[in-house]
Amino acid sequence: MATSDCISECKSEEALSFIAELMAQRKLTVITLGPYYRAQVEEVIAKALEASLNPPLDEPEAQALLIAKRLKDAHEVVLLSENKGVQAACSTIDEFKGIKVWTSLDLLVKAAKEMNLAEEELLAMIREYTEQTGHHFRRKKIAKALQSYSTKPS
Amino acid sequence: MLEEFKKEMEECREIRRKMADWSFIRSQPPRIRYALEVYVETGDLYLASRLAGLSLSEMNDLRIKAKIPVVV
Repeated sequence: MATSDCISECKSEEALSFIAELMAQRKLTVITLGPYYRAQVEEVIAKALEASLNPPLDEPEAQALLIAKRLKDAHEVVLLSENKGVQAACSTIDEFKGIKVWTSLDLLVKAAKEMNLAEEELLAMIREYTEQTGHHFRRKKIAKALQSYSTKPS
Repeated sequence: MLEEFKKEMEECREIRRKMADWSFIRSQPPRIRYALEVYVETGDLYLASRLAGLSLSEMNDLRIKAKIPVVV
């Protein structure tokens, strides 16, 4: 699920085609937030400010948090974000606690588990992702991911 | 808990500063240059994109050109 605000930030033909393909396969839903939800997004941003969250939440992240919060009791929701403000909000603000936040590293590990890849293959996948996207996974994060991967159920 | 995040953010900031291509950043027009510097300091791509007057995906392409990593 993604908001139309988020989709409108994508400009490349490749990204837009991929989004369209996912929508055609009904693997992605795009929602538009009306005034009622927009007011609540403002409220989420205000709560982060009141909690002295650093970094403060920006609007797209607040939208994602709001949707995750609304859905978390009815569905198994995972919020994909590498924003430290979101991670801090889900760890420190009561109403957002319990929302699962995954980074791209979590997603790569999950995909590798699904594909039953060897640890070396997972590392190669991480390297390729790093080169393509300009991400930098800190050593301790990779070590932690590998530790959880080595204990994967066979 | 917030202290932990603060420490983590400082660690991420240091990595962004170290890996950034500063000659590329300094060669950019002022508005773009400041937006890239804001990204290095905050890691907030949305904020940087608004400052640069670019979409998030355009700002992300620029970030990659400037060799500023998204630190996870």
